[in-house]
Amino acid sequence: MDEKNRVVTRDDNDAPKGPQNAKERFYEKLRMPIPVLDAIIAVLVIALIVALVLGHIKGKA
Amino acid sequence: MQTQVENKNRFSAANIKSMLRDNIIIVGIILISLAVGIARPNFFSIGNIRNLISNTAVRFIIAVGVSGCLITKGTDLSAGRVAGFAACLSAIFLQKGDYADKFYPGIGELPIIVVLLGVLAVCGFIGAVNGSIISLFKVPPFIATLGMQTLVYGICLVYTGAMPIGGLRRDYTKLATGYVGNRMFTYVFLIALAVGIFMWFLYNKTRHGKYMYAIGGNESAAEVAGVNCNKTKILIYMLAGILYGLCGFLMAAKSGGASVNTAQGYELEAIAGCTIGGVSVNGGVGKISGILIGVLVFELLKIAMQFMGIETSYTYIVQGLVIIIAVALDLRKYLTKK
Repeated sequence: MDEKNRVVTRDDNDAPKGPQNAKERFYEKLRMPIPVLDAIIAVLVIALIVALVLGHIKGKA
Repeated sequence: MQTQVENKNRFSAANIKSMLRDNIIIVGIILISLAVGIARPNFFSIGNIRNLISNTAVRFIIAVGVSGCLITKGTDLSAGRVAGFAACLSAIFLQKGDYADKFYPGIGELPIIVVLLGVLAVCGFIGAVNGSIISLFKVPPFIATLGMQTLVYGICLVYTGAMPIGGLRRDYTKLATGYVGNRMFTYVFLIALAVGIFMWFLYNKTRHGKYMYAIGGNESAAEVAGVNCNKTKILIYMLAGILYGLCGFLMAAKSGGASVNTAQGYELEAIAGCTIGGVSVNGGVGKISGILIGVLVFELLKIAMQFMGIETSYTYIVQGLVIIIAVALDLRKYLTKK
């Protein structure tokens, strides 16, 4: 019964891992928790907004 | 069980949140554009939209070429220089017959189609060399195409003598300014549309497309399944080269001239457009529609920044940050799946 109700996810049917490219090897080494990555992305977005605002001010000057 | 039922509902809070997070760049740029459009009403003028479509069409062709390389976990840093070389070649052989500074004064006016086929053949050969180095000699794509980028730039500098090429024929430049019916449907737009339809068909309805995604997903499994990975990769890079050649040909027509700096840096814009549009740098994933959206949105951002009066130096900072955020989001998707 448990087998019938078991949801098959992508990971269950994934093929064995093949050779990885440089980016994947870097990603594998990068042991970064997702909340930390979210914080980094948030900082980047803030930097983007700051760049837009500063660029607008400099452009008007 | 309840979670499975919730997740099956496409408009559940979790799915909407996930969709927004995965497409935050596209959503953000659209919001910026709307804000600019409200502040500057002529942002949505017909002329500006026509300009957006024209710029997007050319960059879409080059991005579609790069996408094949990205889907197979590679890259192609030579795209811009190959397109620039193609622009120079096209301009050299399509100069006016009576132009004072004609590159080859002895050669008369050649048919446009002959020049186009010649340029595509040269660029296809360059792409095939890239593909061969990467697949047969197992050189990392980053290194192989970086070397080719420098080599093509050097050849172009030597060949043109670093001089800009002008005096192009009217029938050639008309390719960029001519249109069918409405002025929105320029020849460049129609050519880009034809390329998009062809590539969609190639990616989704042919064996070559299936092999491409298979190699990107898992190259060893693809090889075990009987896919000739070397041949497929060579074909992918050769097709990419042909598309860069077409892009360069159209760019020279659009600009009315060419130089060694034509299309400089376009490979990075193409990769950025692909990444924003959902082509994963981890390989195996990417749609033509996504590439179109990514390129369109990137062009929209550039035009929006012009309308916002942002200083040119800062536009490079903004573009760079957008690219980094796109890659960070791709990394996040990869880590989440793990």
